[in-house]
Amino acid sequence: MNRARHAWLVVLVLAAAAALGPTPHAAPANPLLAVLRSELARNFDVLRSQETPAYFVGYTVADTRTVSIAASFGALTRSAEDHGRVLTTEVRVGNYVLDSTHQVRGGASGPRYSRTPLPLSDDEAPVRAVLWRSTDRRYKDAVQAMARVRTNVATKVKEESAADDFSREEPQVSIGQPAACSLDTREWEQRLRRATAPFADDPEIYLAEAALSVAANTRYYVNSEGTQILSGDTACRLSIQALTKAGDGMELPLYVTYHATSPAGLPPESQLLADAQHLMKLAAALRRAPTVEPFAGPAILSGRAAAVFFHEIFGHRIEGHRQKNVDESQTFAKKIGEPILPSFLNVVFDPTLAKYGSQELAGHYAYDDEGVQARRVTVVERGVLKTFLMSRAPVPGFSRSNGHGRAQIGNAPVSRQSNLIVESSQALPYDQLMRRLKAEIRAQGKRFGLLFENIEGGFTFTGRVTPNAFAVIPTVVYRVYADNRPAELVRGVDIIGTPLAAFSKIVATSDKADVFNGVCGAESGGVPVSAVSPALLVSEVEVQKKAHSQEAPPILPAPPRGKTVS
Amino acid sequence: MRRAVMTVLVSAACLLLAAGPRAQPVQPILQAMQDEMRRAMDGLRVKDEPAPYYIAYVVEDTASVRLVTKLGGIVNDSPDRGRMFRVEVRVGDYQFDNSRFLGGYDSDPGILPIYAQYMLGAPLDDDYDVMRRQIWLATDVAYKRALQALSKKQAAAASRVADPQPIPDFSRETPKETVLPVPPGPPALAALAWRDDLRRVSAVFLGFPEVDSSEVALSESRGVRYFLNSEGFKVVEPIASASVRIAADAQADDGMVLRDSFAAHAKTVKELPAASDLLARAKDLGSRLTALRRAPVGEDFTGPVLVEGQAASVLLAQTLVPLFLSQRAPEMEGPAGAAIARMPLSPYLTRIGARVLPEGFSVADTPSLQQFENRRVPASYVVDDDGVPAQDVTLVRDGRLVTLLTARVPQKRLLQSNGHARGGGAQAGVFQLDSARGLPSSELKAKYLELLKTQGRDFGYIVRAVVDPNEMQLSNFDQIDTDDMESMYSTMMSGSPGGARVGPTIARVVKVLADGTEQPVRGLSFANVQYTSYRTIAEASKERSLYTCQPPQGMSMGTSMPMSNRTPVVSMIVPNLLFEELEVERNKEVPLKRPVVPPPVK
Repeated sequence: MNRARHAWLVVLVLAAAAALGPTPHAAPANPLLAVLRSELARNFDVLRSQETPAYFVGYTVADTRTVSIAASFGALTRSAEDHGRVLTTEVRVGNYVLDSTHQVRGGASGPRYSRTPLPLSDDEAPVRAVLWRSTDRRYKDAVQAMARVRTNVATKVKEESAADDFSREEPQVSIGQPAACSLDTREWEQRLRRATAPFADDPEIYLAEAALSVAANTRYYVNSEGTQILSGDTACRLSIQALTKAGDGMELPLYVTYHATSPAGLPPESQLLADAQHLMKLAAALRRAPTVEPFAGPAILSGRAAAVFFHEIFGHRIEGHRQKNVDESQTFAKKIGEPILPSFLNVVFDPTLAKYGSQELAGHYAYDDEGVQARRVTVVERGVLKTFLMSRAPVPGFSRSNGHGRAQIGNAPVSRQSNLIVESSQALPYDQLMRRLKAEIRAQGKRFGLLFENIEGGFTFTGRVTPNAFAVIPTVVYRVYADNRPAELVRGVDIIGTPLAAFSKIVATSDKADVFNGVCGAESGGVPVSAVSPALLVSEVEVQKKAHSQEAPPILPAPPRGKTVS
Repeated sequence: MRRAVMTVLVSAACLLLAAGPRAQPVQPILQAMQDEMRRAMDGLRVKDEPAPYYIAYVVEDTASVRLVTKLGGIVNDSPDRGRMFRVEVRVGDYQFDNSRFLGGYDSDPGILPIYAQYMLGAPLDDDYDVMRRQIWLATDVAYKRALQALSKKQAAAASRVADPQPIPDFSRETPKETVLPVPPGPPALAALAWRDDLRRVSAVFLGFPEVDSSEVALSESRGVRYFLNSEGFKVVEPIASASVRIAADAQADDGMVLRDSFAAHAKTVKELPAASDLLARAKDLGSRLTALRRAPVGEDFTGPVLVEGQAASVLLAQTLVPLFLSQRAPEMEGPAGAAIARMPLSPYLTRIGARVLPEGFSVADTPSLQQFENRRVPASYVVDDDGVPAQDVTLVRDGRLVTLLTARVPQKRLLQSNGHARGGGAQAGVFQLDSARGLPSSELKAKYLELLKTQGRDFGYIVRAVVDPNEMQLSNFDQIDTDDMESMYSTMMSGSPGGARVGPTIARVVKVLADGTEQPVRGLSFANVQYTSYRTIAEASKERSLYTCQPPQGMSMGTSMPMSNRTPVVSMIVPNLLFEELEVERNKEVPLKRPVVPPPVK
């Protein structure tokens, strides 16, 4: 115990020193970091002088303490604490130009994955033993992979997109603090019970859950180029979700989610209760709402909906590695310097931003998972595509990382999104935007337009049984009439057509941005991201009826409540 | 200790006698199960479709932990608490119902139908209303699915020539209420107090630099199981299991990987070997592996083999026990259905009354056996997963097969359950093999040498330990990467019912010369052990030993949902066995190169 406290003090002092003035290559006093560094040096010294030499070794250790609590209809359904430490080892043979990670064309190339449990304490012997074994296995895998790469390169046609396999980057040294977090578990258990109790009043709500997860993550990263990083962050995610069913069997899921970097930043109980009431009202209205007929016409996407839309439809297509992988559609690979969005829009990715207004952003970090410093990247400037999100995997014309190599622990990093921010120079107050929509409806001679109040990406459902949806799912949609009739809630809307076409039809935006925080899933696992966007007026969006569950609502009514137990 | 247990049992029995089980305070969870079942049996019905004829609910309330240590460090110590529940609904009748049918569900994009397919989380609070609401929804979904499956199964049956003597789908059993004493309050775990002891045991391997990786793990699970069905079966029983495992591997200079482990199962943590015993076991394992690195490699051999102790238990658990399980292939629409119907089941299904072991040998499964040689038998149990009381079953009498172990899925000539539904199909509990003419084990080696001489052989093999596949499988989680996932997947996909495909790997074996000298060798496995191999047992020891392990999974093929989340273990009580003919062969595993970098631990 004393030793642990001592170690903490050292870390704090060091962090202070680092803040005063970075001293590159200073010996870290964190005991785990010291073991990682010395075992890395010991292994790399031998592996670099083999017949097939290793040219790069990297270790990532993720220490995660998680508390997760969930309640349903007023009863606790989960309350668990977990502590785990996982090592991911990367060994590359070959050289920066052509190495063992090079894509083998025609071969089965799944995402690389390496995940080894480490002791939870900093005991040197077991940590070294695990590092040694893991390094040896990764090295042998890399030697084998390199042999396949050499044969593949020799026997296939010259690759269309010639780029190096690994970028050269400046070594970074940054010793921060391990993450710490305390949560009043009992109090939160009570709060989530109370927040979900109201759902029990509605017999037609079939699933209802409030879930809180608080994860204190400490990441240790060292590589053979001299980079050493220790960073800690805490992510608190709170969601309330409910599911109801319409008479025709259609399932209608609804969600509210919150993100904060400390439990204090989460909403008060009164807000959760209000959310529950709101979801119940919405659920009741949605059950009675008409389904939408196939339609093409003008629409407004709320800021939140637009943020999700941009993240899913646009963001994933400007991830750098997709411009190189021969199996990808490479939508934007040859569009650098060309207009791809209306000229009044900029799209920026800025992981250095911790907050947008008062909202904390989930996609904030100081160094990415390859040890590269985070930076602001303007991907689209006045509608013109300028660059891609880059990890250390270069693509033609872009030889360096811009700090977007990210991965869930265990996976090999690829280029991923951070904080996506849509900026507009054609911003109108929301009521004016609505007037423009009505004008557009009249001009196009349509009966109505659509308002997408909420869209869920495939990444917000945190329950135990999760459908793996990567699509964009509109959950709350209104029909807007050109005259003074009130907007009318509809259900079962599915957006079709080429989603990219929708971007070219953005006419104007609102002057106020909304934030969406979530966890984005892709080949390198789940990473926390944010998307910030104003509401968008789109001259045409195409929708159809969603395929939905054909299963009828329950046969028996909900069981009687409040029965006292004999 | 033992006296304390007795006292508890006696006082609990008194309580039951005095008050009767019904007068116990009714658990809100159980009350919710009862009330919702009554309502569903009375009123759950789609117009013009059959009502359910059978509904079963199970709730398992458990706390569990897997405490893992490595070289003195703790790798995992997070306990887990959960209440899982599952609903089974049958429509049709005992003769022909929706069960045993693959592909019976319509695909549906909804989330709710998924709830019929998995064991679900139930509230941790003793909340009657919430529990009842969850059961209501799950029963509704399960009923709708059962109707879909029944109509598809009927359609498939209509296209086939009817079997003149069809076997029923579900057996009728006499309802029984079994309410055993259970600890009050939320389940408590004892394993966490072992943190420091376990660390010390794992630190033993710091003294064995030639052991490449090692792990010491303690698992514990405690709780209560509630089971209820519409026939009147009712079970309240404790869940209690614990196990400890020491696993290590080393690599010989020629690249061959050598694995060995020590494992013990019990009902509770305090019945596991003491820390001092584990320390000695770890040292033993370390020195044995270190010595084995320099041992010569064994040779392919077909002939007499002596199998002793743990090796006999694991070999039989892997290759003989599955033969005694009554299994039945599911049905399916179309040509694939015909293929499934021809799937190899146990060859013993057609050999009842025939000789399967030499004269004088008998086999029984005796779940009621509580004690063996003053030790509690870990796998003994009172009722099976369906609530059917466990029966002691004579399987082989004087070498002839009498019957098989059954659950409620009937087979030809095996129409009733004998209380062996465990983990989704029939499974053994306390498996005993014995010989009427057993020799003292000290004489068995002399017999073996005699047999080798008669056959004119220069040497033979005595197998003393077999790698318990379940124990080693856990230690493979030491490191998972892309290659491991691929190989695990291919193992999963190649799995077929009816026992072991590749013979078990041997952990400890000696080459024995005509004069009785023993020389440890490495790198041998049993070749595929056929059921006919067991007819070549020549002798057995009088002494028998008890070893508990996980049997290979019985065949459920996704047709019957296991009504329990527990992993069944089987207690093997078997003698040392001298086989007249058994085949051992060199491991097929491709040797890996030794690590390029020398090990870090000096």
